[in-house]
Amino acid sequence: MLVTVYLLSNGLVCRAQENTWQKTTEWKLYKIDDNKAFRCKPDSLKFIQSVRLDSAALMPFLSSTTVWPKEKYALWMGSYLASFTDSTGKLHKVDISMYGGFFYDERGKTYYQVASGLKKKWLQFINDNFEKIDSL
Amino acid sequence: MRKFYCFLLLILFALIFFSCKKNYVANNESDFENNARTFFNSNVKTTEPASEQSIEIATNPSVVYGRNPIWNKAVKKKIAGKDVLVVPIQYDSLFYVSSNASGGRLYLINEVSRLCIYKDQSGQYQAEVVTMVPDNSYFSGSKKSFSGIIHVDTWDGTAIRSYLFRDGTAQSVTRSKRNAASIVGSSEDAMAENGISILEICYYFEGYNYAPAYEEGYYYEEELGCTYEIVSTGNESLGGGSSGLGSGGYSSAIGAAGGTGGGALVNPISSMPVARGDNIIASITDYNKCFTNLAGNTYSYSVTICVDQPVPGKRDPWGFTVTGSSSGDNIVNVGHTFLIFTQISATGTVQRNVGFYPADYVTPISPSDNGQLNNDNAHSYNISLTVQLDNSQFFNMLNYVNGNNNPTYNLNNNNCTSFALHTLEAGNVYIPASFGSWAGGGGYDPGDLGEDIRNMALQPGMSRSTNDLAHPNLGTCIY
Repeated sequence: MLVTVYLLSNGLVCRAQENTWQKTTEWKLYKIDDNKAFRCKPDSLKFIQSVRLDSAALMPFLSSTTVWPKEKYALWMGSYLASFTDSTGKLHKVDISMYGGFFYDERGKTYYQVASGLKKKWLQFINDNFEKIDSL
Repeated sequence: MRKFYCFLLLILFALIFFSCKKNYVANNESDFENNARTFFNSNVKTTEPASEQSIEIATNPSVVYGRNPIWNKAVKKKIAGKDVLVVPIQYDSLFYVSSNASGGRLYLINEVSRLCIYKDQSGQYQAEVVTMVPDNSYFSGSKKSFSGIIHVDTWDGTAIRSYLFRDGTAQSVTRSKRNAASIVGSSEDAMAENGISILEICYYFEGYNYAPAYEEGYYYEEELGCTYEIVSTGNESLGGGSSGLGSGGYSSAIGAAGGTGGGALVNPISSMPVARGDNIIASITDYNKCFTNLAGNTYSYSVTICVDQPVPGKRDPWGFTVTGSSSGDNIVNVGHTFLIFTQISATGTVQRNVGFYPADYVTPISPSDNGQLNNDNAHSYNISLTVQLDNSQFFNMLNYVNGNNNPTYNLNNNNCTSFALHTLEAGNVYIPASFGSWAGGGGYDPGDLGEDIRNMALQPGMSRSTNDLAHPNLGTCIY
């Protein structure tokens, strides 16, 4: 019974996380040097050149993510800067690692990891959109 | 006093006159552009782009994808005695165009096409899309006059006229996909006997499929279709003819918008567009296959080592960054070192970015992971060192990178900086590099290397920069 409960609750958590991501909107990627990206305040984002990320293309990646335990962290070796708006209208600043498939929601103080099988496509998706900013 | 007042009135009158004249001229020019734009939006743009299903029968595959004029970059030009509004075009999806006379060069469609709007001899507005595809002679010559093919189409892709420019003359070209295609299979002797020349213009599209339904994303190249042109034996003067803007007029259209105008000023892409490698490089040998190993002066080779220091200007191995949130959370940034390989020749530039990373993540407590090579074309840096090489050095470095199969990443003894330095050493390039230390370990690191580069004495063939310039991958090849 305990095993069954665990599996059921895990499924519920996954479903809840997917629903949470689906409520996010206005995903954007910004053109900024990664050192400055870490220091940039959320209310400064509107002054930085950006490109909107396609929600339909983005959701499969977000839905695949797992949450890192609070004590887990990684060393950063370059990052992209993104943002989204949550269901309450709050702006979230997101640091996306250039390797490894993980990203960090600064408002939620949470690391997320894209599924291993989608990591390569996730990095490709982010990089391709970053290149679009230059062409705007 | 009276004379003084008369003088003042005269000055005032002159000011009003010239102000009105300037405004009149300005208004007149804006009227021309507005009228042209109104004509286009009311009479031309209403035509929907061809559907993908019609690509098989489309005489011009370029209309399959959506496109729009970029009005704020339009330029009014005098061409063949007519006022012409030359407008760049933005395509929803960029693709390439090439011909069998282009010497293997590909051209981005938005760089070789323009919308031209003008009034014909009967005073009726005409809207035409002019596409120019230079041939190999254009690049081997002085580039003072255009050499290649020019297509003139309606906005919905219907062919109007085409010209072949060769040896300073223009020949009219008959665009006939069906008829020419049947002739293509004929023997060369039969074609020569009948004075027939066939030009083949092909369109290519490159894209990347992210769909999670596929286990691996993949790049694909799609041939959108080819048109075949039968070159007639008739000649046309290069001046303005009775048809449209004339061959000479059309050849100046591409140079008009954004350029200095006059003559054939098509600006070819200096290097062939990139068939972009994976951001995570699946096959490094495939990624680097477009470089050519040739001694002598035909190619110039260089490698640039780029350093993104965690704290710019300091040797600190870590940057403890307080994020922009109010939480005071720290992000531990160790920076990055990566390489740019560049090969330049008269036919173009081939350039590839490569950097070494852990596959998942590392920490000082857990410093090892599977390693992987990434395309670092989007990675910023704050200091770099460029070293000119001969072909032997360049390919020794490439071979080192290509042979670096599935190495283990280690934060202390085999990290991104170690990888970059060892690559340089494979080409007998040695630069000062200090060891850094940190809790639980030590080794080469971007913080120290950046300062070593900043303070080193430059050898011949070396240059240093603190400018974070764009460094895209460049050049593709069909191998």
